[in-house]
Amino acid sequence: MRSSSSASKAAVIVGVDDIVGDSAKNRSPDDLTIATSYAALADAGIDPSEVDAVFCASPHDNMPSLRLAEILQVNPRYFDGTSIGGGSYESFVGHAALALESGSCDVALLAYGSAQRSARGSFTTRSAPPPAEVASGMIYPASSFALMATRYLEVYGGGPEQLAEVAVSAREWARHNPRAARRELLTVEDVIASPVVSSPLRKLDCCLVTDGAGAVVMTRADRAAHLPKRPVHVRGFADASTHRFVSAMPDLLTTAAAKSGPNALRMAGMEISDIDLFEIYDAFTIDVLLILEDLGVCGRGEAGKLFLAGDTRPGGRLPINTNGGGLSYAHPGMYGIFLLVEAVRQLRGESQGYQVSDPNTALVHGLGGPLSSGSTVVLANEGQLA
Amino acid sequence: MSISETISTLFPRERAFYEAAKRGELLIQSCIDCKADVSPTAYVCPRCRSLSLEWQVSSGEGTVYSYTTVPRPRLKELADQGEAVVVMVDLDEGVRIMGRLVGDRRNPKIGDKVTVTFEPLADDVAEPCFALSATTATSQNSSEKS
Repeated sequence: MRSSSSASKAAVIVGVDDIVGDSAKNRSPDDLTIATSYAALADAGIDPSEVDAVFCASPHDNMPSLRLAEILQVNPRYFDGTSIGGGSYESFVGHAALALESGSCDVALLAYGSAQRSARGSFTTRSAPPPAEVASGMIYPASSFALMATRYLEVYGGGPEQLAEVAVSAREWARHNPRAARRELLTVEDVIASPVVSSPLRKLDCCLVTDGAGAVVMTRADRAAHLPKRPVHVRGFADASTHRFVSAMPDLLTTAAAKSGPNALRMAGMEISDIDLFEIYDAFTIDVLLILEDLGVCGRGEAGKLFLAGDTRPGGRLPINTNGGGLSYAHPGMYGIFLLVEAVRQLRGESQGYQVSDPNTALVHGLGGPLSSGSTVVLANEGQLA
Repeated sequence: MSISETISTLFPRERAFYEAAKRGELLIQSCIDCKADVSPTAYVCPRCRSLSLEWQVSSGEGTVYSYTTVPRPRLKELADQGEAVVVMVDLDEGVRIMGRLVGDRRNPKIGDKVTVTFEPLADDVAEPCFALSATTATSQNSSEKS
């Protein structure tokens, strides 16, 4: 619980937007970023000139928050461009909440845009991995996650269908979402029959490469009371990391979520069983299994059973990645912003066709690098009790 | 991308690892202050946080911690060699290291014993790789029969 924040000063999310599919194709990252930022601000009912804090991570520019301020033509008094990978936007929610609650800013814009697919994937990384990793013949990023998947299947037992079920569950959600990139029927057999990228991971265990953009607008609860839509409350947040490159990951079966998850829930004053839906960064199928276990949703080695039982699919007791996820909805380089957008839409009841029944709480978990960082955000329709 | 290009960009401290490999030595580090065995890529002792690390020669013996097979590696040196088997190895000294599995048998399991071997790269550098130890091959064969 953030003791310093009174209910009226508490940070809330008041606007979201994303651009995916055909409307994102063959547009520059700046073009996409401005379009989605304006749409999210319109959703919030806030004029773009009121933005006084910008949060941006980007594979395109090493001063991304300056670039966002320039193209938006605003002069912010608060900047954050901290890059801890694709989950940076989950981390930004916490940073923005602290900045808003301390009075360092009044309207925070988190925005991302990427032309990764139109640019043929050429923006994936600029980081130099350790030479021993390069020389081993690893491919990036898949082999890092494949090393975790090998160990998962050998230590806990089970075959590639454990991984494949995660992709099938995501697709079952995407089939109900007209904006998802992949909507055709997908079976476990299809996933296992797709070509091996880095064993045991196959092509359909890997996220999509798409174009896209997304934005989130945050302010304080007292301001939100005068805005058109009901705010979504930021109840808890926490970051953690275990390594940068996989060769330094202490335990391939324990991710940063083991720390960020419990810390974020403690701040929210909630238990894992209080969460109605989960948006989990699914760059690769193995990620979701490891993160659910680290969050305490199930025991070690048991996440596969949740997927096999259908618990995670539409109508199941544990809705996970309700828009279709990075595996079937969209994945333009950094997916973190899209997890937040979908969680807010679900809590507002706006996910038409794939809406979870009356959710009040959502847990969003972003990862960065090869499961190097973990950033957990707990969102709710109700604010903290005073 | 190629292995040689990657190593040619290294500074002397990091390059020493590959120069030792040319002499047939797998280097790890040792903490001068607390005597801990330390990864060759670390700058800080994970046990006492000392910066005083020195090279030591590893036994080169270890156990497979995890692995992945890459059907089409993108490195120039590996272009004609078919799939690459990447291994994470826990050396007997307790230090984890990344490498490529070479030799006739390249279907490892976690827990298999491996021994370092050195693949030539240039006049002054070589690349440490790993081969499944004979004992592992024997025990796997006998378990298949039983």
